[in-house]
Amino acid sequence: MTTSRARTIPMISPRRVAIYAALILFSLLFLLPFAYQLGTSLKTPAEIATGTFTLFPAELQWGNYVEVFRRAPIATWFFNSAFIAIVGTLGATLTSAFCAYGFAVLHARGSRLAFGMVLLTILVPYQVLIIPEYIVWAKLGLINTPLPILLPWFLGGGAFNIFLLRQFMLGLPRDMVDAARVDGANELHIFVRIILPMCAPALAIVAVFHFIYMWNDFLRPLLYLPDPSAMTLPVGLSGFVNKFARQWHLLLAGSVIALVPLLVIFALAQRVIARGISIAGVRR
Amino acid sequence: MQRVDEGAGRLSRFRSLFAPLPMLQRVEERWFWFFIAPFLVGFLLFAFAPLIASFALSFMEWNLRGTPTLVGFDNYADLADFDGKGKVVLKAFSNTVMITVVAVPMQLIIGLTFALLLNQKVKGMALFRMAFYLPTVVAGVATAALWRWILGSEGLVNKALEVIGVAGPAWFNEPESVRWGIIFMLIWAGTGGMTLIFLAGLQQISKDILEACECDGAGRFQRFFSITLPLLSPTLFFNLVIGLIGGLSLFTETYVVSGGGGGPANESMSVALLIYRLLIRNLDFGFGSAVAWLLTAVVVLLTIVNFRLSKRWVFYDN
Amino acid sequence: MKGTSWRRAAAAALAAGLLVAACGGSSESPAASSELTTDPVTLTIQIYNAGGQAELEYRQAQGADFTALHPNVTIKIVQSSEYIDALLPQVVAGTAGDVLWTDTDTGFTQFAVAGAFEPLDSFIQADGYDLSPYPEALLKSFQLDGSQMVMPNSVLPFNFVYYNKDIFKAAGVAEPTSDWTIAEFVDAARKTTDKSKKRFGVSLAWTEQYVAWMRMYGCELSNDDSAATEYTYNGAGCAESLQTLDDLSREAVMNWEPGAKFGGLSAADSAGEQNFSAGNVAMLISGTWEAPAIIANSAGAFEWDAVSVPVEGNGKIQGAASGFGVSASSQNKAWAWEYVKFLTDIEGQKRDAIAGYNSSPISVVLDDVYCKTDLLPLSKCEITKIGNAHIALEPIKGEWSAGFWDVVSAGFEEAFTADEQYDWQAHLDALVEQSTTAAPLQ
Repeated sequence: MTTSRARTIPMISPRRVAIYAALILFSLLFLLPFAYQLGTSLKTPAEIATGTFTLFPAELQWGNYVEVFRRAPIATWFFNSAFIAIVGTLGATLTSAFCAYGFAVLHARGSRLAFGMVLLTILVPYQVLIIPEYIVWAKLGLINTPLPILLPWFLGGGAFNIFLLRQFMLGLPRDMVDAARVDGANELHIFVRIILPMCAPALAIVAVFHFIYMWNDFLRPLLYLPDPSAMTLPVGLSGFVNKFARQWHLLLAGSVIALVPLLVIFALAQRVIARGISIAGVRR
Repeated sequence: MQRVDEGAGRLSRFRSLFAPLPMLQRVEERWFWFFIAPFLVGFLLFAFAPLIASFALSFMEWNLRGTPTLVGFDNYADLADFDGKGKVVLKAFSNTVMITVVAVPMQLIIGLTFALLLNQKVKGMALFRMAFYLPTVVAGVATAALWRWILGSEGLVNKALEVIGVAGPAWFNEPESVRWGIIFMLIWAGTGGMTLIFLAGLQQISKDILEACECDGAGRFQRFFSITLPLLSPTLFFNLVIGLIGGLSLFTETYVVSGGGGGPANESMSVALLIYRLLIRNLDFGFGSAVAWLLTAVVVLLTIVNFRLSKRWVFYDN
Repeated sequence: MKGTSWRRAAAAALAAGLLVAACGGSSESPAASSELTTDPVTLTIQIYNAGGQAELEYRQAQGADFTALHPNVTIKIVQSSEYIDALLPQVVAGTAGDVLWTDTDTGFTQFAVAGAFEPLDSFIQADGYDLSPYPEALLKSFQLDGSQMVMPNSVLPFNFVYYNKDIFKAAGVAEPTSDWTIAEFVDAARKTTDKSKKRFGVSLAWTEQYVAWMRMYGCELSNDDSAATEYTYNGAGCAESLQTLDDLSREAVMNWEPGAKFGGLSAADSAGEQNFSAGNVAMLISGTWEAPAIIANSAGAFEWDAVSVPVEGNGKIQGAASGFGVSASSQNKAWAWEYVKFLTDIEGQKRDAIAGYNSSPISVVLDDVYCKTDLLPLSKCEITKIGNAHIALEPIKGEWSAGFWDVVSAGFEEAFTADEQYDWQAHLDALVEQSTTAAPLQ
């Protein structure tokens, strides 16, 4: 009685056409800002200044990209950003999964209170925490090192991430966990062998979100990595637009360059998220 | 998450916190603290002391010079002084709440719609997903320029409105329209994240359950509302909580749009922006901390309400 | 879990608060010897990123010159684009370096009040340093409670009116000269406006320039009198200036952000140099730094020149001054002072003027260098002289309240964007009262 129509939509049907139309329409819409950045980065300063409303100029100034590399240590900034984002994301993803397991799967008195503290971290405006945090690192003499930026992600991995993974884990079926316990596996084993693989799509999401967040983070590198050789991309690029020289074409060229890794990361993560389907589907 | 029988009264529940636990529970408890340990260390080091300090500061007056002077509840009284210092606080809260109440539901609805759209078996889906997530990723340093292009007097949106014969306002320069501009920015930038999370939630829903229901002849809409949505409820709950918190903590968009000024005429002043200005520009640490704690209190209350209500509609597969 | 732990919590809170305070306040000056040590010393100079990479390299070369004179001293330049955000935490933590750049527009008030600077009076006295070349108003704008905090290095009057000769000719209006009157100025603005072509008579490059406009009419915004208990920005000329500005804004003669509702903002949402360079504005009120951008962006599309803003009666000209001070957290204050002198004395200013990094407060430098360079085909020298002669800069009045400014700016913006025009005199009266409540003078 069940036909295989369950998963495949027939080749041409109003529904399929509608879906495709919606997808294409929105995709174009969402591509526009990126096209704008790319296009403006290829204009001359005069064209940008006089604000002609065209996406791409008649003459594409690829030279802007060469100039960006000449004017500033882009490669250094790129490397710094990459280092921080990669290490930070690894730490955050693994640590937050670790903590989320505790909150989602294990029972304890005081777990509610502890989770409340997780939420409190998200709820308090960070403006309040900036200066005291800075003072601590300054007194420790660790300014201009990546430690102030990286260490917090290994200690908890970020309240947002813990929360997300906890919600995810709460939605997983319990019977596998219980079965494993009966078999005598300890919690660490359960975490690594059973829960973690099942969380693959969520982990991929956490990793992507976090990478993007760290890559685009402006405030922390501004405070903790002020040295030109230690700067990250966002901080470095912001120097192109200042009081006397508003070099928008360079800023946008730089931000297009800064965008590429994010697209790559996202593409890579897609595979993991997609793979997650098959793992979750093959159950029972 | 509670081992204690829900029917037990509060007193016996409280007492049971101190009753000796059976062996298994004790072991499990120790594992819990083991897994939580990294977070606790981080919290104590980076959050606890600054939180205490800022709370203490809210009862003092300090501008970074010399030592703080204790002023008791003066700062909190000033919050209510709607002719004086409290005027802008009220305005900031009203702006923030208005923006949140409009933007977050839109983000949720649009995010879910997009996730459903992206969950189809269609060729090239990976590319489409990337395109849908682009808005969240694209801005960065170029945000200000980008948004001037989208919502300028003759930006993208106004040009589109022209096509249908409507004259759009100068979004960020007119007091009446600046908040709507910010709402637009939030929906544009925030929906992508929600979409992704909804998508992951959707993909987690077991195919077996869905196929079983198709067998029974349930229609697509019925399937959605009675099966998919309840199973998606933890994800929905997460997005709702995060969306509301994000809305109330609104900072970056208002900063970018107003150049840090909260204008025109304080129409784009969010609470977080106000706190920032009080601390960094006015060096008014006492009052700034009081505003920060007021915001925290509001968000905490809202989140507690959310969690309480969630028992009614969130369905965990336990 | 009651009585005792509440007390403990309170004590902990107080301790934490005091800890932050103790760590935060200005650190005890380390051996504040006026002896210049011959040990190797590295001075960190913090500057604001105004000129990008070029400026960084220039300052580094400048540091190398100093090292050539004093081989044991190395100079390190740190450039920040978000100056206040980046430096304030450093000031609080006591790690702000040795020499700090500052500007009356970009954080001097906050930094001075937060204790970022070491008072220079003792250094000045010990050296018998001659302050006579520096104009009194300029020195005053860098004092806190009578103490000199910063040595001025440059002053930028915002009195340049760039005008488009082609537009003036087409509208049949005589070209302005620097001795024109306010009435002529306003008249010219109205006559060169052409609403149908979306062309504006005059542009104010940024919204807060209403302050400059008010000063032009002789309105004073704050006073010197440390015993004053009321703000003075509704004195003579204030209401009139704002009324005129408001009229121009509503007639779409004035191109600026608050005028957006009335068609008074360009299509590109630009009230600055870009719009002037595109040929849409007859006059642009700004400062000397716009010229290179105008040259580059207008690319010869029209003829233009500049004059000074009209100066009449008590009229003053808005400006910003910048300078360098010794950081209170410096470990080498004696050497830091030497470097501050190196940067801000007559020779230092001459160097910066030649390199294009400042206008100058010292008339000698102005005449010798500035007026002799022909970097730009403008009567820049004359305009600058007029500007410097009539400049008004904010004195810090005790605990200068940014709170007052918040009330004023919000109040002004509200009036400029209201559907119905306000009675400015009544509005100013109300604002004075409100700001006195919200930000009491001490």
